[in-house]
Order: sequence, then structure tokens, then C-alpha cells
Amino acid sequence: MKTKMNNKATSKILMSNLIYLILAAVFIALMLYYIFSQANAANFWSQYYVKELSKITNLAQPGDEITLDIHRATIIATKNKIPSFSEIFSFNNPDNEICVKLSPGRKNCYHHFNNVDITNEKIQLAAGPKADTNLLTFEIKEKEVTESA
Amino acid sequence: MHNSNKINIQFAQLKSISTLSNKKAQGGDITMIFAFMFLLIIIGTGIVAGLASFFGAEYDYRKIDAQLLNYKITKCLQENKINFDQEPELIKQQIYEKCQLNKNSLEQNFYLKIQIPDKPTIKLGRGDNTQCELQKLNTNFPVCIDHTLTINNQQITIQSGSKLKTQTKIT
Repeated sequence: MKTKMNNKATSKILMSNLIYLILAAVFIALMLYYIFSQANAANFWSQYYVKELSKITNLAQPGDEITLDIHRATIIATKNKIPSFSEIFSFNNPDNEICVKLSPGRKNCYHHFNNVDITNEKIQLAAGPKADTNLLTFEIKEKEVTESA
Repeated sequence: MHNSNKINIQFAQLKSISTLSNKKAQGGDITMIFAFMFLLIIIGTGIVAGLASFFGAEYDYRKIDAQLLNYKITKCLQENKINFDQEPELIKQQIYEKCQLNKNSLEQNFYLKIQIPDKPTIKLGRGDNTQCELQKLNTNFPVCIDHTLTINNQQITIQSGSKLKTQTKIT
């Protein structure tokens, strides 16, 4: 009789606290998801890559062929489930704009002032001297339509 | 038998009082959910704000952009002959063509001023010296770089600035 009453009291205490436990669990799960999604610093690295690409493009001259190590970008994109590596880097030549996408649903874009076009961009996987890095290669060409006229 | 019935009735009364007081306590317990949720919201906002300020901060590149523009113009003026005695519009056109600068991009996001004594000042893009000075007080103004060089005994002052920031686009 005593054990039955104890069980009932325990279940009552559990029931009254259950809603708090559920709320706490949902909160912790949401926070962990947010922290881990931020911890790979996709925003920081996409800003880094887009600005480095802009710097290289600003210093480049028509005829240059540029190769860039993008290994970290591909790792972050894979972790963030970007379906294809070709989606990571995009070059909008008419607007002189370079975009880098390392997390789904958003990309960071930056302009360059050099009046050139970026063409023939391709990603080479497992390349480099030791075949252990992913590389982005592109060519710099003279702008097709001169906008300064 | 009679006694036992009496005890049973008393026990039932006691039980009903006890249930009533328990329900009252439960009411207070449920009200505390709002306080608990408020606490969670405060903690969550703190975590989100902390992470956003640490990982989401702008990677400021404006000073490097201004330096690059200054370097490019300096190199261009050293390598190309630009006639600064003609009309300012023609000089601007020559600078765009010979220095390989994109007019749209420069006018929207950059600032360039070329000063030669006794000659008209050439200004490209948006901004002015005041905005460059105000950058120390307000980070939204362009970050500027000054450089002076001498070509053919002519002292040329180049002031370049950048207010370009990363644009985040939803895809």
C-alpha cells in the first residue's frame, strides 16, 4: 500500500516537471544546433575567400591564370551540405562581382574595381603538388563590353 | 461496522481537501512555466548575440581595398602618360581606360582624388576628404589612404578610399 502511494507521488512529481524537462531539452537541442552551425565559421570563411579573390582580381592583368587553394572552403561546404562544389564560387562579370556560398541559402558577394572578366573557372579535386588539396583555377580576360566609355 | 463507515467518510473528506490543495499548488507550478521560458529566452538571446558578434563580425577589407586602388593608380600614372592639362572629363575617361578601372564599380563603392598643384583636382567615385576624416568617428564612412609621388618634377597626391562591404544575398 505504501509502495503504491510512493509510486503515485513519484509519477506526480515527474509529470509536473516533465514540461520543464521537455522545454529544457528543446532549448539545449536548438542551442547546440545553432552553436555547431556557427562553429565552422562559414560566414567568416566565405568573407575571407570572397575578399581574397577580389584582391587577386584587382591586382591581376588580362592573360593571367590564377590558381587558389580552396581546400577549407570545400570542407565547410561539404559539412554544410552544399550539393555541388560548382555552387561555391560564382563570378558575375557584368557587375564586377564575386560571390562565395559556404552555407545553404546565403552567399557573400564583393565587388572588384579592375575592369576585367573572370573566365574558365574550374575546381580541381585532390590536386596540388601532393594531390591533397582542392584548387580553383580561373583566367583573367579583358572586359568584353567596355563600361568606361 | 458503523465506526468503519464513519472513518471512511472522514478519510474521503480529507482526501478531497488534499486534492484541492494539490491542484492549487499545480496552478502555481504551471504559472512558473512563463518565468522558466523567460529565463530560457534571456539565456538563448545571450548565446546567439555572443556567437553572432564573434563569428558574424564583418571581415573589414576596406583599408586593403583603398591601398590596392592607390597602388594601381600610382603604377598606372608611372607607366602611362596621362595629359592633366585637358578637360577634367577627358582626364577621367583616360584614367578609366589606361588604368583599367571599372566605372560602375568605382562610382558605387570607391573614392579617388588626384591632386596636382595648379591643375584641376580630379575626383572619381563617391566621397570627399571630410568623409575620410569622419571615418574615425563613424565606421560607415570610407577608409582612405593618401600617397604622394613625383613624376616629371610634378608632385601628385593620390587619395583613395573604399566603403565597400560584403553583401549577403539569399539564394
